[in-house]
Amino acid sequence: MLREEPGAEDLLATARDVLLNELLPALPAELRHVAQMAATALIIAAPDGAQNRDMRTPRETLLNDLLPQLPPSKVFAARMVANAIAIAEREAAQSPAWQSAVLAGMGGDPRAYAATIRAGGFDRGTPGHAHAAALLDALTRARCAVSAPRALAKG
Amino acid sequence: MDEARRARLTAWLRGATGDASLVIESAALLSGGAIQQNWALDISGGRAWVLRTDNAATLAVSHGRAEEYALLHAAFSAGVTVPQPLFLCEDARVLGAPFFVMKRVAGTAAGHRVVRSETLGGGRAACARALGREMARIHSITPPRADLAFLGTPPDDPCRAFIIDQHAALDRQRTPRPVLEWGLRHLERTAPPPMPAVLVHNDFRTGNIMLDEHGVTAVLDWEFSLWSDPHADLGWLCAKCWRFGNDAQEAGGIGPRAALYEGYGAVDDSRVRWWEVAAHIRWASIAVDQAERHISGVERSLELALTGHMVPALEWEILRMVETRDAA
Repeated sequence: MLREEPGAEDLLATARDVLLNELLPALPAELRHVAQMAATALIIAAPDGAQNRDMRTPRETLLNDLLPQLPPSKVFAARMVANAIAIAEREAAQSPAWQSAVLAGMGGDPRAYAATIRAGGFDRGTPGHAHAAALLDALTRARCAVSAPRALAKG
Repeated sequence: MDEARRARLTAWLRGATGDASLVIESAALLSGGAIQQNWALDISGGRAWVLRTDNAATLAVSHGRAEEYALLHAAFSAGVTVPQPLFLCEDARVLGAPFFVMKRVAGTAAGHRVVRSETLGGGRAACARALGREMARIHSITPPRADLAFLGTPPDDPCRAFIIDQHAALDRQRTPRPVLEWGLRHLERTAPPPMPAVLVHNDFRTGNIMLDEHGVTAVLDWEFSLWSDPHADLGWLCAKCWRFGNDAQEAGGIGPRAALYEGYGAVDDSRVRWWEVAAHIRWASIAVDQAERHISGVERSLELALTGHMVPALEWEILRMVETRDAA
């Protein structure tokens, strides 16, 4: 509930569809099996669990070997596929511990917490303001670390 | 476009134009528009048109083609640089959905290309001034207007109306969004006083503005227009999330904010800043809705899925803006 959706499994499956159905047919014949292998790698779970699945290799194959051979009209789609894989990689690499910590900080109920913010319960000048500001910062930092790490670098 | 649709369209256009020998020489699907389909039509006699119709899945918050056509007409008459509207067809039997036809305009709209160019739109400062003038012309359209009756009653307090709309949008969503609530609460506490509502384009941003080397060739995508605070458009264009990475040029990544204001005329800068926070909240909420179309299976799309992952960065920016404004 605290992580942005869609999550890694959905992103990888959707990225794989684009790779197979949109990018592969636009590649020179001799590179199609490379795209096929990269697509397969995206959905085969490593024997020791998703956390150790190698997503970096198919992403680098796409960017370094396949993208330069694609027509300009497919470059945007290829970059989207690479971006989706990168988000999935970061999600797999992130410890989920922050979620229970943030959830506890919200009293276990994000919906009630959001309603309290709306009602002014954490306005400036209230005792809960500083805690709420820090909690929302922690929540958003963790979400950006998966979805958009560059946003944190700028801020 | 298949042969049957093309034949029905040809027959309809012959009726609309009174040109019994009209022929569609080519019909090509243009890129763009997550919600609409745009077709480039080449018509006999050297006529270059665009046909605009709906995709299968559309956002409930956007106007239909008939309304968009009325808005385009109103804007064209007010001197806004828009493609000249030609014909509207509300009969869904022709193409499967209502559509309208307008003149085709040349130029570049793609955000990433526009913000990189030093010369498009006549150069950065000249372009920002021209955008200010376009916006002022849009805002010269004021209620009541019988032709725009579908926009409803203008709000007495546009800022308050925005907050109410956004609360309603959050209440429709599947998951709570505490950071967007935080931003909205800040806006509620810092809302400027009521002012008379005017026609606001409501998606006037880089990506929806077509430019050539001399200036603005078209203000596009009128489907979100409403009666509101004119500063809402200025804030949407200036919001950091619509600068396509070129943050130093505060008017949409295109040119200086001062040039935009100069072209516009009277601007209350503090209202614009309020609407910039509002812009981040509204865009985040739209992004959530777009990702939801993918997640729910209404329209499976990698682009929609990735749009959802823009939300955390928008939230980060909202937190930073609120913090800065609270400290001031």
